[in-house]
Amino acid sequence: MDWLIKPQMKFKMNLENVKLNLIDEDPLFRFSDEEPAKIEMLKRSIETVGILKPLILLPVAKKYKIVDGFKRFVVARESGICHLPAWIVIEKTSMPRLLSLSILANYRNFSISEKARIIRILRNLGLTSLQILEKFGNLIGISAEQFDSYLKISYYPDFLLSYISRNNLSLKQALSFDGLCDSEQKALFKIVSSLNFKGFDVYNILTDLKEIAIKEKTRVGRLIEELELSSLAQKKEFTRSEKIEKIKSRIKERKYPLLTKINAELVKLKGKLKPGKGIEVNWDERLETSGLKLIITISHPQILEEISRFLSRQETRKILSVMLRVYHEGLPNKKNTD
Amino acid sequence: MRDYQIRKILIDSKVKHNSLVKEIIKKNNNSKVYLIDLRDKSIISRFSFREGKETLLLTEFPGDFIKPCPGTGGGYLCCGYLVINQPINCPMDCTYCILQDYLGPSPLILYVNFEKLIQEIDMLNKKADAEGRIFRIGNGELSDSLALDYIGDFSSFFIRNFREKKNLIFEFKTKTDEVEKILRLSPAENIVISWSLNPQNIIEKEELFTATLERRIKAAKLVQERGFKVGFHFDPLIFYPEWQTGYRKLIENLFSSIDTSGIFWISLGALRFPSSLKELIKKRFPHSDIIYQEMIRGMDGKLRYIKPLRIKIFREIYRLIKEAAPQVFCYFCMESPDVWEKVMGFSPSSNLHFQSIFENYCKEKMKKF
Repeated sequence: MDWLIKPQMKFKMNLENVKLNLIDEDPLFRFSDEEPAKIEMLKRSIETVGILKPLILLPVAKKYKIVDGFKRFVVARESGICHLPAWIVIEKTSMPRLLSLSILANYRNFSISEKARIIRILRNLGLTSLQILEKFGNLIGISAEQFDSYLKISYYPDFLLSYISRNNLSLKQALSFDGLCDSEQKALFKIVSSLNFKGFDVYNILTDLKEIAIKEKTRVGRLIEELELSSLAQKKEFTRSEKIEKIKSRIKERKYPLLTKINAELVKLKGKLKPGKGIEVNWDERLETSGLKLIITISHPQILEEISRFLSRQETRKILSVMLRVYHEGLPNKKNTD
Repeated sequence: MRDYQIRKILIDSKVKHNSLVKEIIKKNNNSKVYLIDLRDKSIISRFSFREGKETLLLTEFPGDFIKPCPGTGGGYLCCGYLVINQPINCPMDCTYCILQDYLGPSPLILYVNFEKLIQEIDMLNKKADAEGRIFRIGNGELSDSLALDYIGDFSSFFIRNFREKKNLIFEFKTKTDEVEKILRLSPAENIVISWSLNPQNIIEKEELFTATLERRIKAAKLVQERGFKVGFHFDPLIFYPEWQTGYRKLIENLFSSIDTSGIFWISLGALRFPSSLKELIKKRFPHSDIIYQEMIRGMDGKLRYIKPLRIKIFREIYRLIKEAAPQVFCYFCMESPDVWEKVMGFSPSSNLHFQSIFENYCKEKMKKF
């Protein structure tokens, strides 16, 4: 196989000065993340000292395809440069081997999205998963254990890959989009990108939605609709953080219906207690600790009398005992746990 | 009738001359046998879960076989059980099994230095005798007690070595119906054979390669008829839409076959697992949906059903058990005192109290036998 990556891999290339208009604007491979800040820096550099690193081009039917240097090409064109220094590949070689040249020319720690794009290119070139892992795994920094995850991400649409790199999502966070259909990915992308969700929030809400969908035997898309998440994200009357909190809480309520109902009932009962100054009735929202908490703050001696009055009231004991029953055993309505 | 089998036997070169090793190889002539040097640890780290469950490693154990059950923390009550870590890992494959997280993809391990285990059992019995105590001990924590019985006379070993140890109660805990060898032995008052039970639909979906409910109950009936004491573990109890019907039928079925006076104990425990196991279950068993119910992170860090739901399930199961077998001793595994209180009407005040209640019950029960 001529495209095997070998330690001393060499390519036959000539250094030439190539007319810009002979270069095809569609590059042969495009896997790098778009980084506007870097383009700006490159622009300043090229305008000051010119192009120091030659492009790598492949002659194709009297024109050239870019193997490496697409950003330099774009900046040069915008800056009105007519000729570019370029290494011209003069040997007949395979596409995977040319891709390896492009990778080596850009060698760095590739981002998750870049690795996924490289895998996608290789898939499109007809390589099997095993070939990709064996021949390119080390080169792009993917271990055998990670490969399946990257393979899944390589099927993501471009907008999602850009989002993952722009927001620096971890592999685990990026994988949370897996298992969703195109429209679900699009809807969730719109929500999380418009509200600039943090990676861990993306992971949590996507994981919760997927788990609820499995439990309720429905689709994530359906849940997004039912919970009106897209319209909530667009609402102008709420701030960004309010919208995020509301989205999280709607999902949480759906995931924990019984827990939500019980806590709501406890809040309602607590409202009837009217404990007065210095007393706070509280509880573990998971309902896991052994009982309710009565927190007493004594700021002056008169409060003791108030506390004593509150505790000796029959109504207090009645409500607290109902609260305790709800805390331990849930709501009286059988349907809640059936 | 087994749905699993050992395809490969790895022999640590240190134990190649051990008579038990020779016996196991002779009995399992369909398995491929390899002699290995265990100093190279990578040999046993290359397995997938499935391969691990079909591979038996014969070696020796340098440490102590008998340890306290790790139980759990966070204020949940534990019974002070002792465990014998022999064998390690299980050929069956329950979706919720903690071993897949605890051991990872590793082979089944049988330690052939049984003489060391005998010494430990003797020492433990002397200690219990000196302190006037009764210890409960079993080997069904890091494995299924009877799943490998078909490849060697392990049940006979345990029964032989515990029979005369009157301060120790040994429990086999299983999801198999491998009782053939047990049935050949005469019963002993301090030997209990226990089954973990779940409705058949849960067994089919979540307890892969285990014996059906019918086979488990039939096996329990056989050992009971032979004179052995039996125990049952409703653990993990699993919440699903038809759980009430499922467990009611199971309990009716059980008590129509089993003489309740011969039941030593019944435990109840609801599904619980560390969050790391949840990820593993998602990956290994995508068909399983038991992990998506309303679960919270408990005080021990494990995911468990919310307490009102646990109380509801326990109450129903406990009621059904007590209706059929009012005298049977029931206890919770890893539950909080308030759940005990709400379901059984009382609660041990601490782990020590729980242990002493259990021990006193065992002493009384042993007197009656």
